Amino acid sequence: MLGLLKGLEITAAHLFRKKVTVQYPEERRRLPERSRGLIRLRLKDDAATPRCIACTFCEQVCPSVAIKIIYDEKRADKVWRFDAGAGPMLSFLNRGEKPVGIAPWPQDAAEAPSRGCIASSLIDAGELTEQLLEGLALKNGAWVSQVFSIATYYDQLGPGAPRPGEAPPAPAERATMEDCPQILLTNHGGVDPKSIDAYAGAGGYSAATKIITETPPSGVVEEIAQSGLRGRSGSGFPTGRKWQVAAETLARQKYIICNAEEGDPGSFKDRILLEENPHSVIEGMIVAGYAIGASQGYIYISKDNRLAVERLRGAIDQAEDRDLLGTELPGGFAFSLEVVEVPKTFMGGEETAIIATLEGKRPMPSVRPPYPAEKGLRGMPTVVENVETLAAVPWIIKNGARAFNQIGAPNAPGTKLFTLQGAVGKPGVYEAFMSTSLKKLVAEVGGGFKGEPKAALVGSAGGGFLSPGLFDIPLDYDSLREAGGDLSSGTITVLGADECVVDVARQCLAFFTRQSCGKCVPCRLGTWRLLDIVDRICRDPGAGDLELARTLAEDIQAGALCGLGRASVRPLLTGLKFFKEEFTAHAAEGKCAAGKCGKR
Amino acid sequence: MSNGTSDRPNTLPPVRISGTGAPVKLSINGREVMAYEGDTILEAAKSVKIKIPYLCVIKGLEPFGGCRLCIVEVEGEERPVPSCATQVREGMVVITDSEELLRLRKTYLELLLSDHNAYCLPPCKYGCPTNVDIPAFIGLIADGDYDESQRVLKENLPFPAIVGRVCPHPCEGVCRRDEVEEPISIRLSHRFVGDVAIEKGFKPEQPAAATGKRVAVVGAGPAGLANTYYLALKGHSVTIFEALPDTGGMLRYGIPEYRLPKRVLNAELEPLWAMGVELKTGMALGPDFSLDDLLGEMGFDAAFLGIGAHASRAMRVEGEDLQGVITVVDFLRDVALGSPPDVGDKVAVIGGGFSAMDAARVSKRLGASEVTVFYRRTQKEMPAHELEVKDAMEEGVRFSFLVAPVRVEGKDGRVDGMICQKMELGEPDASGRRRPQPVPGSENLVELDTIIPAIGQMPKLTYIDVKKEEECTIFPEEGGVACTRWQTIEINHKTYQTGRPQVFAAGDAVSGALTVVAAIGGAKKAAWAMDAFLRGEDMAAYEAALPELEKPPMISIPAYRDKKEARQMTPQLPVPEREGNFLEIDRGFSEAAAGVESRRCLQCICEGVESCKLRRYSIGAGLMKEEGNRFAGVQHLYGRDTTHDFIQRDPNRCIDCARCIRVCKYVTGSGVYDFTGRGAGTIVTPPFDRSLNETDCVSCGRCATLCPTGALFMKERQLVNWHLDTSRCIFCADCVEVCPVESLAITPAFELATPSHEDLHCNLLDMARGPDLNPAGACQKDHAPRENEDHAAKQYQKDVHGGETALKREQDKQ
Repeated sequence: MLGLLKGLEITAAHLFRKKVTVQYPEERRRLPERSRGLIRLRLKDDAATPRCIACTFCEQVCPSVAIKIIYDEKRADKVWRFDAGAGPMLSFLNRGEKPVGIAPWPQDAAEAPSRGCIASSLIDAGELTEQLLEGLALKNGAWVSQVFSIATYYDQLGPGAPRPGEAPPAPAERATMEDCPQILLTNHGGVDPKSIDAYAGAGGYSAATKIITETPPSGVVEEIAQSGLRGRSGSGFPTGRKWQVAAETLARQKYIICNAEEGDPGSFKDRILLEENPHSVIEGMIVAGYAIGASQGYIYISKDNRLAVERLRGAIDQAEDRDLLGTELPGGFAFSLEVVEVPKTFMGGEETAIIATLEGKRPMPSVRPPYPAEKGLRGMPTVVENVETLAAVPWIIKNGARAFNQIGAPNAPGTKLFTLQGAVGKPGVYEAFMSTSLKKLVAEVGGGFKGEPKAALVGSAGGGFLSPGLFDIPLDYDSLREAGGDLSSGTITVLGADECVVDVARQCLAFFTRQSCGKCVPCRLGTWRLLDIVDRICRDPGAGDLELARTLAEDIQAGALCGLGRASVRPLLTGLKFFKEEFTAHAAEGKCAAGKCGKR
Repeated sequence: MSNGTSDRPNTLPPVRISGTGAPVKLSINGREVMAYEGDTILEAAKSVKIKIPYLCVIKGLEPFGGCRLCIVEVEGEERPVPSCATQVREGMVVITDSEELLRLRKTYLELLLSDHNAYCLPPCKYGCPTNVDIPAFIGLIADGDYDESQRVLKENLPFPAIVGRVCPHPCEGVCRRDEVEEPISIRLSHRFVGDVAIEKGFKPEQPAAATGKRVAVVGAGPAGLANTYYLALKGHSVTIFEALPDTGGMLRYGIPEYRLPKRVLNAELEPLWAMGVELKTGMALGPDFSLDDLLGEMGFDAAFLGIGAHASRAMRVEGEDLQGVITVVDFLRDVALGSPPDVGDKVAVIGGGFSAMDAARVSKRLGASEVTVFYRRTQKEMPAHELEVKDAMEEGVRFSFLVAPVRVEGKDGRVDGMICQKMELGEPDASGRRRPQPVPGSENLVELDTIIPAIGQMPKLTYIDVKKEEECTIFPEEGGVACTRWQTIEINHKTYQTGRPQVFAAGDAVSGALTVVAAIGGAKKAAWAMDAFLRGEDMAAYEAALPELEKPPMISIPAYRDKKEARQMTPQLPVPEREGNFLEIDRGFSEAAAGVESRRCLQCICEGVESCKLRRYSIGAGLMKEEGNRFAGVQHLYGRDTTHDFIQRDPNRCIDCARCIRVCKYVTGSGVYDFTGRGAGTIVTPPFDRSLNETDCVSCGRCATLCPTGALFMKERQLVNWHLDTSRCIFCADCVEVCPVESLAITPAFELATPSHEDLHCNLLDMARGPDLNPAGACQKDHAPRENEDHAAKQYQKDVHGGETALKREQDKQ
């Protein structure tokens, strides 16, 4: 009975409770706020076209792979056609058949070697395959596109790619001009370049050890500034000022880079210094490192200079043994050196391009400011110096700034190495005062002119022509710049009567056209188009070509990004300045007195 | 853009840009500017709206400095410095727009254009009065899609087979392929498509729903027929009134059969009659009806005057009214009507235009043994196309240049000769042609049977009133349709309205005797205006909103192809077989030849034309096509990558600004692109020329949005289907979160949250479009909203059913 009542009680209680069931679909339940239903597509306001742009993001993001989107390319009113007359995408991949060579590196990506930077990792490769490049990218923590870019920059891709070879032989003659102190060519003929003892015996490394124990870094910078030493790479920037900026910039790490690329065709002075006197360069770097507070130095050099690389590595090993280089040196100073070998290029010798290369980027110059001395390699203050500049440093420390400042020209003290070639009796590398004239140089050490000289190209492909009337101006930065030329690497090519100035200017331009890094418009396209015009002047001149060549060359010089870009038109512009008749004869009458040009 | 000195107060820019240092003061273009240390010159200039052009800067990334357009002069600096990288200094004096800088920028832009193997807009399209989309229809011939090709053509040019036979092709004169070797045969390609369309009987365009408006078109010439075509397409009911016994105007009664066979003319006009256009022949404006009749008792809503230029210009020499002197219009019309006049043996045609050539060649076919064309200038100045002249010469027509008639000699009221005078060329006149001057004492007599003067035509705005037998003008009323002093109808050249708002006019009647294609171009635009008028639009507003019909600027990009491909020729009827008959001479392209010819087309079109910075700066620097490019030469020619779903890549348009490289590497981290090669051949591309699909591209599209040219471009696509597997969906709504265009939402209907077991796949697009489109399936069973409709549910209703609720439908049912 009780049980029955209990049952009825439950029934009665529930009778008056709110009903759970609803009369679906007439009656709807209220859903909680965060309930979710099926996905739906929204339409545009016209209630017909979907908003969806078929981007497939939802398809990609769906965790349960429930979405599949089918789309079509929109064919609007316009009908576009794309491949009318299109050719192969890039020419360099079509040099020959697909490579079948065996790669010298293990195919496994993880085992691809790394040599510090991508550019130097490339040089061992016989045949670069896609797999290898991907391995390289993985190993170096770079993008494949980056490695590919650098490989094509160095022309290291494809079956026809030039392999690193032997550098052309340097001329044998060396001499120092009379009355000129031997600052750079000290070791020539006498001391064994492979022996540190021989170098130390001749007073080497005394400068480095002297300053580390006696002079504070600021004193060294002061000494170099007072010596008036200017960069020997061509720009002629005062070395002391550069060091000062780097020394005064606060940073936990600073770098010193020796630029031994020597891209100028026909220049041999850096190579000779490194081959015959590597220790002087190393000593110069130690001094520079001490002065600016750098503990790491790099020597950036082309792989082709095999002997120089070998001697440098030997010298560095010996210096490390003697505790002259290393991370823990006596006196609390630390300085390590590394040789970075890269494939041979011209633009790779530009200081910001060197920094980019060492950072694993494509060797392209970057805009300045900031200058490398403030913000260079890996964002740190970096001093980039030419081999010759560094080789002069130990002498200055040993003999004092005053001694150095008193020799040579007042605004360009010291001695300079000149590579003399062309129509002279004894082509070679000579040390002379900067104030020496070409006439004197050739007469005293160069063995005299062969025949009547027609012109001289001072500063290799990026330098300027001198007419015989200007052979007695001093060969320093400022005098040459005044004449429209540039000292550059100090390479002097004397042209005989049978040479054509227009043709030489054209060859210089052709060199730059091939070497341009492709970054800025004036250099990439300007030199290419200018070469076309100069080619026309040589072959089949049209009216106004000469004037067009001059304007374009001036515009390139005004706007190119780096010094090398600006240098590209210097032979042409100085040629037009000093040998106008010769250019006019080509352009107006189609005549080449030397018989070098003509319809080809 | 001289900014000069300004009265603006020297206040600091309100927002720091990138500089973080102390405020500095500098001068830009003589104007004092405040900025912060660390700002670049470019940023400082931007803050005061001084514009410096640049192509490679990306805000927020390190300066690149490659384009060299942002160079500025800074006092104390040896040479211009890039403003994107140079930071401001106290007291800096900057010049951004000196002559020297403008010249340098122009040179660099010209260099960029010299290796930009692409073009923005097709010059041919803007060279043609009808603005027909030539690259598109030629591209479609190359694809073999002739149906689509004729559709594209007829959008702007309704009679390709006719125009493709008779047009003097101004388009070919501006074709860029000419810079490579020879222009594309655009005219014959038109004709090919038109012929194929007739032969295969492609379905003509369907007219829009009838509007109920009635239009009278006076004159069934090229202008009237084109006008009719576009009006009829818009759904208006058109009646054509024609004075002559058949349609075509000059096409039928001026152009001889051997150039334009009547069967082609008839066939091409078929679509008109299929659209229900009414034709009334033998009805001439003036004698038979007036404009008042048309708009009044005949009940037309608008009228179009395409009455052409059928009156011949007089020679103004003595003896012109002798028998045997027959004007070219009358002569050609009589021949077309089947009653050719007896021309005798010796015929002289005076003039050097198209009709002169026609008259000479027709005379030859009628049996004249000696036909001579007298022209007062030299062959070089002849208005007729050189091929026409060549053909006439081949057929034995003789030419006598630098000769003008002085007097017509007659006997018994009939011509028997003409006295001519030698001429010599003097100074150029207003048209640029050298004006001929008579050589005194050089008159001589030529024996002749017939003289056909063909020295120009003009509209015939008068008629002989049959009742009064006197000459009357066809527009007698005051303040209505007016005439210019050249005896042409005066119109508003944008709305094509005459003095009477309901009356429109175009063609030769407005312009004087011109080409067929010019008449069609005008008549088409008149049809658009008439459509607006008939729809009751405000014509002043229409005129104001009309896009500038002028030619857009064409910049100086030289055309280049490494291979020269000769222009395709068409077979011609051999000269001996032409004698005494009117068989068509030109046989047209074969399918193969049309294909080859169409693939020569350079496709001068670019999707990026509106956003292209290179184009904008080039126009600003005055680098125009007419002036040519000083650095034209060999160019690079690359293939296109259209394989990627989103981004299409055309390296031909790339200017190596490296924006894509930098944004891809340093912003999105994918590193898809980089420079490749060295020297002039440097180009930005993915490694190994891979398709973008094979790279790490995440399809973010930032490269495409940053590209200053059309080298990288976002593709557009449209949704076909949006499938959802309801058995898999976990209702996480991640897809709703990621949708960039808010295209996805969640249904508030909980029933749909339960997977159906009847059909697991549903197409959301069909669902969204409503029940009518949705085939019976589980998904559509019930997606009515909750009773208490909140906003979202309302939106859902609107989206899903176009406003009609399920509930309402149910109510309707009951």
